[in-house]
Amino acid sequence: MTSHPTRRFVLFVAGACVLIALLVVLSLVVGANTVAPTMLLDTLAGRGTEESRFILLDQRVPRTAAALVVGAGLGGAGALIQAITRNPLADPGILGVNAGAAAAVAVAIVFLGAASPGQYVWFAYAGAFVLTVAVFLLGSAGPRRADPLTLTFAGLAVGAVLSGLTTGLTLTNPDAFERMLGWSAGSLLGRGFDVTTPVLLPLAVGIALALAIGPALNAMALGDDVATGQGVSVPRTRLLAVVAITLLAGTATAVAGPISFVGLMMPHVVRWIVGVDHRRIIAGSIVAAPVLVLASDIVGRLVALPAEMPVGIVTAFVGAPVLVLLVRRNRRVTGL
Amino acid sequence: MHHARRRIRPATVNLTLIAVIAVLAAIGAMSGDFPIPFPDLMKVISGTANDLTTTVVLEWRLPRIAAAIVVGAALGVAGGLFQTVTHNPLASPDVLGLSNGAFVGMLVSLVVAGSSVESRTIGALVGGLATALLIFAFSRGVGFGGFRFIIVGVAISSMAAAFGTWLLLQVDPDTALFASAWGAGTLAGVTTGGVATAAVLIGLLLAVIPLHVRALHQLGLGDDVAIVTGVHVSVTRITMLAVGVVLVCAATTVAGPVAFVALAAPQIARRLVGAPHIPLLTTALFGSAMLSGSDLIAQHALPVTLPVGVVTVVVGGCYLVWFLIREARAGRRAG
Amino acid sequence: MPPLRPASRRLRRPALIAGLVVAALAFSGCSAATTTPAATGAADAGTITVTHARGESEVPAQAKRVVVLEPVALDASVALGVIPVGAAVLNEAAGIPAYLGKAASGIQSVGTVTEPNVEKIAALKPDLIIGTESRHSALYDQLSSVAPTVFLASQADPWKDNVKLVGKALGLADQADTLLAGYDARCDEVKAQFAVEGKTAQLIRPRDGLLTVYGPESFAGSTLECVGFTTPARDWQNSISVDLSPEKVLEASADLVVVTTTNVDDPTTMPEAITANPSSFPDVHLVDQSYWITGVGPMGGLKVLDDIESILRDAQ
Repeated sequence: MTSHPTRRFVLFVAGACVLIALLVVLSLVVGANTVAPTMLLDTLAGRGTEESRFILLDQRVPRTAAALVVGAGLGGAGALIQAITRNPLADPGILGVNAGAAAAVAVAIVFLGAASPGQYVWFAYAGAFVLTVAVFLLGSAGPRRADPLTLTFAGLAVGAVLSGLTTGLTLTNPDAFERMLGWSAGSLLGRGFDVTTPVLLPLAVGIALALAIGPALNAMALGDDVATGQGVSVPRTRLLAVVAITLLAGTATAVAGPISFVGLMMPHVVRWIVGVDHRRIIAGSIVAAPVLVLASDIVGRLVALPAEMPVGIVTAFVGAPVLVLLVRRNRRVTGL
Repeated sequence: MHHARRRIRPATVNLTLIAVIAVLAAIGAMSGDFPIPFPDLMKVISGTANDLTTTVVLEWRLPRIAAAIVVGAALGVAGGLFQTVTHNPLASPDVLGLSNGAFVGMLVSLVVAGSSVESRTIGALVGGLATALLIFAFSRGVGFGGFRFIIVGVAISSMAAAFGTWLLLQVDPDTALFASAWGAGTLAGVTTGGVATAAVLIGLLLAVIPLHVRALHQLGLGDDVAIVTGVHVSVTRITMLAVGVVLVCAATTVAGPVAFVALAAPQIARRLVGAPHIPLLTTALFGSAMLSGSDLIAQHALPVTLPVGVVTVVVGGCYLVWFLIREARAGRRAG
Repeated sequence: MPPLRPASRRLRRPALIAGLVVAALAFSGCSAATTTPAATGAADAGTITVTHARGESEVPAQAKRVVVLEPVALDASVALGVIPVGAAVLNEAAGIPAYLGKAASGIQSVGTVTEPNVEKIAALKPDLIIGTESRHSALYDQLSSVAPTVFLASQADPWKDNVKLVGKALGLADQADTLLAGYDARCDEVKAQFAVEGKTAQLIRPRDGLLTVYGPESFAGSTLECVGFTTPARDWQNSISVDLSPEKVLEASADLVVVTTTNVDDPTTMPEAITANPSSFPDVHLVDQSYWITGVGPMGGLKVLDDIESILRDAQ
């Protein structure tokens, strides 16, 4: 009988949606500058002062939207990468998405004078894409087509080379160095609709793809041979998964810069509640990760006044201890 | 016949590496804005060279060359110790985050106590040791042999890196750039005194190791074998890990967190010698050669000077890529 | 060692002196003596003693081949009429700042301020090196073996003190005082001409979406104050600047707001936080970052005053 897990799943998704709604409201109300609720309502209604319009409509609304987009991307990518590498401790960044995006953004900053998130977006995407392809090709070189461990190593290796080159490039140019430093902390500051609107389409495609290969991933969870026996093409599923991961994680990184731990943690929380069905884990992660990103962003606005703490740093502080706890609890891991 | 070849190879490899190091050192002594021809270098060694040449070689270039050799050896051996004790070819202090921890410690002391060499050194040591303790405390339930240990290290390393980025965003841009250049691992600005102190410390640590060589070999073959042959597994493990941590801290205080030498040197040395275990002497020599070569590239390959750590990361990454392709072709699981 | 070139009869005097100095260096280098080059064979009259962050040093009374490793020292030397033969730059790509003028554009780079290259410095055969203890401490011994070296304590010290020390090291202490007096006089002149007492001014540097506001202890902030403006009060947290979230942009408003940029002619470099709140920023101007922020020194100070004057003049 699947009514229990289904009911839990539905409740979970509903609960996540409620939390998102609450956090969205909180995100509009809370920030470095306190704006009275009545003023907020006025502003939403089209009145309000110049300042309140700037704070609410130019800063908090786009930022909240960006947080949701980034969360969806990270959650989906995290669930997928853990599924195909069969490694519950994998983060979307290990495929090199972050390193590739960073390298491309560094090139844009140093050689093309790019200076704002709106300008970084497409470079980050391109870099993430190129690198994931490279890692995938490298990981597929050999008899075991893109097996989990090989993919992980490939990501680590190529990511390392690229990060070295990126560091070298930015250290020679102090202005570029400063801008890269800001970007590489992972932040939602200044991410207006000019940044989030272009990525909606790739994000949507990525989500659709991720949900579509859910059943195949369920089959593969029992082993490659079992999956093949059930008629699932393992290499093709892996390929589609990598494409989806690039679209999803690439979106998140292109918008906000590299944010760690969200993609790693959320699938675990989700799995704990909804069970091992990959379709549910993926969908649940896509819905639940925005909660974490939005909450972290709100925290970041409050803990470092009058400046702010970038969301990527908040998630690292929250995420690392959680990860370590997960590692210690997790005993049912094959081959690790 | 196979056996005889294996017995000859370590000594040949070691001697070759020593020769390579000597050549790299000579090149380092001769290159720069004051090119020094080989005969003049010989004069410096025999003490008959003129003032300027002697100053250039002995006071400007020699500390850096010596630092590359000493730090390279320390990092290589530290990596070798970690990998042997944990049976994990990926368990290198830099992957595990000790270097990041040392860097963060240095940043904290930079903000709190200023940029003197002493405060940086103490900060790096404290940071590195604190990180090591954190990693080992959190891995007690996980075991050292597998991926999960690496993941714990990566997690703590990421947290340290995030904290470091946060600190960098707080200080003025000049200090941030300076700290980051140091944080990438650099041999610029090494002083004779600093290198000498580190060399003494590292020498002492390396001297401890031969006492445990037999035990280490047995550990390398597996804990069960080691216990059967009477090796005190836990004591040896802890001692060797402690030695490894202090070696990394000493290296970090001289050159900042240099990545990938600790990871790559032991495995490459092992392949050169063709042994089932990690040969620490060869590893030390290869580490020295690798860092010396990287520093030459960092200084002279481009019009702009790079931190040596950038070169080692690229080289090390390429090593990992090669390692990967090789393992994949052989059809074996990596590691 | 480079061969000694025969002197041509048509050499001008400075080149002849330089040639003699080089010859003296070459001879002293080849001898077995261990004295530092500048102490022997300097063609001008003697040496002076300078007290600096590393104690006392004997430097040429009128150094001719100076290498400077700190922006304030570069600015001060050029302002005093001594064009250094080499300077450390903030940024290899940007090179010597343009605001220092054409005379300075030919100065050789000896590496970056954070990592100067001792060999490049030595290759220029300087007779005086000026560095900073807080940055270049590890290099002091190496630098002193090349030429007498004077260290400023820190680039964060009051810039006027650093200018005075540079003046002393160049044997131009009185001229340095005159320069600083000139700056003060110019301040007073602008102050008297435009009567800005009681008005507030704020310097902002946009950085990655955040707004860095500079206080009265910063270089340009202090210039704004010497002209008569007041910086709006806040807790500066013992620093020259504070970062603000853009939501708090109104805290940065003042009667006059100056925003730094790398390209003064590009209005898109004005941060969105300011363009979205025009009624709170009635008087806002873009200014060049290369001297408002990084151009610390007498020449930079005068350029800042020029900017302030033209802003105030346009407002009339």
